[in-house]
Amino acid sequence: MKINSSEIKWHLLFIILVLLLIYPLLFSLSTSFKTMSEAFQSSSLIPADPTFSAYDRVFTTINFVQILSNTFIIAALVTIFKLVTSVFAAYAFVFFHFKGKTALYFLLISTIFIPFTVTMIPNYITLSKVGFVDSIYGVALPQLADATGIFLLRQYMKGIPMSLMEVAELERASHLTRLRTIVVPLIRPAILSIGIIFFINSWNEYVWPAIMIKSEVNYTLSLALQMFVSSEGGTDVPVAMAVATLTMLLPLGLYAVCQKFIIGTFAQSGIKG
Amino acid sequence: MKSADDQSAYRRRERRLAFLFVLPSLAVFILFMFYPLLYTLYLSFFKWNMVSPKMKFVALDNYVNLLTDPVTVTIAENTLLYIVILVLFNFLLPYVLAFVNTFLMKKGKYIYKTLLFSSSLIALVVGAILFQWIFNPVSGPVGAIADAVGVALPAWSKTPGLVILVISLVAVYKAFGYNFLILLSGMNSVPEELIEAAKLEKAPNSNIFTKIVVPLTSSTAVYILIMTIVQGLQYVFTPIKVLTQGGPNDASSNIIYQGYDYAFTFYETGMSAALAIITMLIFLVLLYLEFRFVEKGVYYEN
Amino acid sequence: MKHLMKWLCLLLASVMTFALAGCGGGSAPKEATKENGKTVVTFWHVYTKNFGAPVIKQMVDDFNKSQDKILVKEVYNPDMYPGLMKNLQADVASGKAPSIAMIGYNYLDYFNENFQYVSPEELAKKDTKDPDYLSKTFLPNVLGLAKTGDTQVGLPFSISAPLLFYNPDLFTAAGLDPQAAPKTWQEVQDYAKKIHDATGEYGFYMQEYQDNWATQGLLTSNGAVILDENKKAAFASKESEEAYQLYADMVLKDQSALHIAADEGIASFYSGKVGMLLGTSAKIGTITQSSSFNVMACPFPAFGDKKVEIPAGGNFLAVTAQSEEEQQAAWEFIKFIMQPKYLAAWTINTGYLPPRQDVVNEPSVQEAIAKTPALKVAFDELPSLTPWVAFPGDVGVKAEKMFADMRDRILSGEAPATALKETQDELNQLLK
Repeated sequence: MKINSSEIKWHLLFIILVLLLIYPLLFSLSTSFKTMSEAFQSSSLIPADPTFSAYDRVFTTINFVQILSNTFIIAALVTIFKLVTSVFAAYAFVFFHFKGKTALYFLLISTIFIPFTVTMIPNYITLSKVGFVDSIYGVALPQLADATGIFLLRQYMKGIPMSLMEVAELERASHLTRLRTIVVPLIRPAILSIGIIFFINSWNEYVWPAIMIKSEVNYTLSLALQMFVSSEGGTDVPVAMAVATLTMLLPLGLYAVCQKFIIGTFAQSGIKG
Repeated sequence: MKSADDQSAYRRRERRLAFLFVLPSLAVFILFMFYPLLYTLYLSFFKWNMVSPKMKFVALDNYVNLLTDPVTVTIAENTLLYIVILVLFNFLLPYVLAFVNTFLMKKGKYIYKTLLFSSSLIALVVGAILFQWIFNPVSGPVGAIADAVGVALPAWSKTPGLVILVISLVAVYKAFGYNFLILLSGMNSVPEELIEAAKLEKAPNSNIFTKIVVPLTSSTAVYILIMTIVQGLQYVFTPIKVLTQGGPNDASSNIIYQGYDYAFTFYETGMSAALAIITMLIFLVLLYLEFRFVEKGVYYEN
Repeated sequence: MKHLMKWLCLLLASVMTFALAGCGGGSAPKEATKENGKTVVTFWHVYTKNFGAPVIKQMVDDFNKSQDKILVKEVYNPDMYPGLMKNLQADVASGKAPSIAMIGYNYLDYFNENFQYVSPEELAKKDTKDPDYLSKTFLPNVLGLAKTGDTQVGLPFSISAPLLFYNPDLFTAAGLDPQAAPKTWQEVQDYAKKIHDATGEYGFYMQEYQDNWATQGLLTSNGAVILDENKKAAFASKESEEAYQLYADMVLKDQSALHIAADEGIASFYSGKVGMLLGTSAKIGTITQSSSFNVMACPFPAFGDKKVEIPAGGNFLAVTAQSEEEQQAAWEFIKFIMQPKYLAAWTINTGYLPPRQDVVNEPSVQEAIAKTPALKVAFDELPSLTPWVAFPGDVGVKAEKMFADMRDRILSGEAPATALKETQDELNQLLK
């Protein structure tokens, strides 16, 4: 293995970049093993006297498993629902011909440009009428209205050779069959990579759950962090960092295990052009 | 040959099926996007605080107030600065780096995308707290490094301009790796041979990038550019809220945060609604651009 | 196209009617919620797991065990009083409300004008067993904290006082005697300069949240008036100017004081890089645990021999229950947690001062005071406490931010006179 000398500078650049991006993650990990006073005394990445007491405090004061499972259920529901509806909608926009198609498509896509401040209050009122305040469904439902999936999947579906679809049409395969046997297998990497992003975004969602959720049994991980952050009484920093670390643990763990697959998926799913 | 009747029956069936395919998406969008949008539009003509029984129709007053308020100018400037920083770090930088990684590096380059993506897994609220800590000029590690080399760091949280930079960095931290990955995958559509040929002709790298890579990856690039702006402005919301609440003296507020502030700090629902509508209109210009470039791009490629 | 649009319109119309049906109708449920025959009382508070929530939970559990007619549920609202107000706003907008809401004193007027609540006076009157509860239990000046005009909006629950924490190690390093804490602002300025000159660290930091709490104390202790009897802003005075000038001089001229966002400034104090921290008694616990040095505290400094007047921070409890049954249940619970035993636990765990006088006699409180000198300092400040000024009505929520902006302008170099005058004019314009 010999690396070209002109490439070394690029490697250096990337190494610096990686270090910069990894540092905060290590910082939070290391702080979570410090005592409250050590956290403020030194910013060394290696705790002088590592302690699990922050994790102890997390697990004794909150029902972590419950919170973890709430977060997971919400993220999974949102991801699956969004993927399914987006695949169907994108299919209709690419392979059906009906009047008003373009108009309808742009109507849906325009919602990407609606800032969440617009929808916050009306959505709260709507969901409260059907009794979904303080429930994980109340957190999940408005997240379903997200057009990025439709947009991206439509791009990928447009890349499917028309000839394949014409053959299927001649064989009188129904649209559902075409969707199942041709479209989905061809754009599987794209579907999966979009799903991963959906999942991460929902997993980390903070603003909306903070409005919706009232009882601790319905808490999500980003809210759990807020249970240790008080501007009035001060913040238990090691615990906050422990919760932060735990919040990242599942996505990071999944990522570490499946990184080859995830990265490969992204690599294959480039928007054409 | 199908008869005309058959044809129209087939079309009707197709149309119904198409509608069924779109319906689930449409239903959630109507409920959670379009209805709120109309409701917000309606609220933007009133002076109201959401709970008071007094709801006063003020026609366009909220819009007029917004457009004549000097704070709006500050907010607009801030928003622009946010966009410039975000585009620089979350679009241009990963774009160039994706090019470098794909065409200028050969060995050991794959590890970087794996590592760079890891920071995209973080929650913004976590990122905000971490950055506040790390960038603390008095007691944080960045402060310590600056101290060691004899530089006194200014208090960024109270320095206009700088405060926007640090807050933007949280959003950069979140989106950089993801954008890099997508742009990297966009590089697939540039034929290797073209680059090799250009290299043989000793074309400078900057030319290869601007003359060959950019035209061939424009769809991906425009998509990332637009998402950088639209999503980026919402991404910085959480750090603004956690770190500065728009301060000092509105120096870190942006158009999204200001809308939230109107709604939930000052309880001026009408003003918030009007600002949201204005934001939406500005974003629609971006949608038009998306239509012009991304949608068209797909045509000339096929 | 036509077909599709028809469908779309139909769908949209049905959604609209469904969603608008109850909008602004104010069709609030007048029935109390029941669970297993018990009246449910929801208690909204702002306390986190590391601060206050464990005591709240204890109070709620004890109350639920003490009787079988009422079930209290506590609900944490992130992001302190603004966060709770935001959630309350959303809840009321959708036609609901918690039974008891914890409101920050600076929202007193806004809450009074915009929300439906039952005054504790009314609740006490209906309470035939104990109609004189208010006057028997609370001192008039404490009740005054949750009073606007003649209306008693709620019952004071938590009272925090600003005090000066300091780092004795930095005092010693600067040749100052840690036992001789600064008594006046002139001394604070002098000490801060000495600390800065001797150690290179900052001498002083005053908590900078997006409000006027700490700065109000600074101004009023120099004799300034924030809001006059005619409910007009009146703080652009010579007294305010002087007070702010001293603070600005420390930051800008001496460079001995730190001007930075609250969390950063407080973290800097923890790490031993700031000599004195002006903060709230509610942080006594966290400050002690987070600092590796022995934190000391002294009362809010005076201007010369002028009387110290500092704002009481904290919150009051307001009954926002809608049905009479729920209101009475809420009242029972409030009276339960206002027992000296619980208020004592509250004080010891949070550093808040109790709203009733007899709590200080509880042995546990005496013990805590002996162990934590900072708590004693806070108790000694009780006579200097005045209400945290709440601007009338909707202006109230804007005023806090305008004060914070004014502070930031002055501390970045604007002349105090100009900033004070401009902010005052702007506020009075809004008050019209």
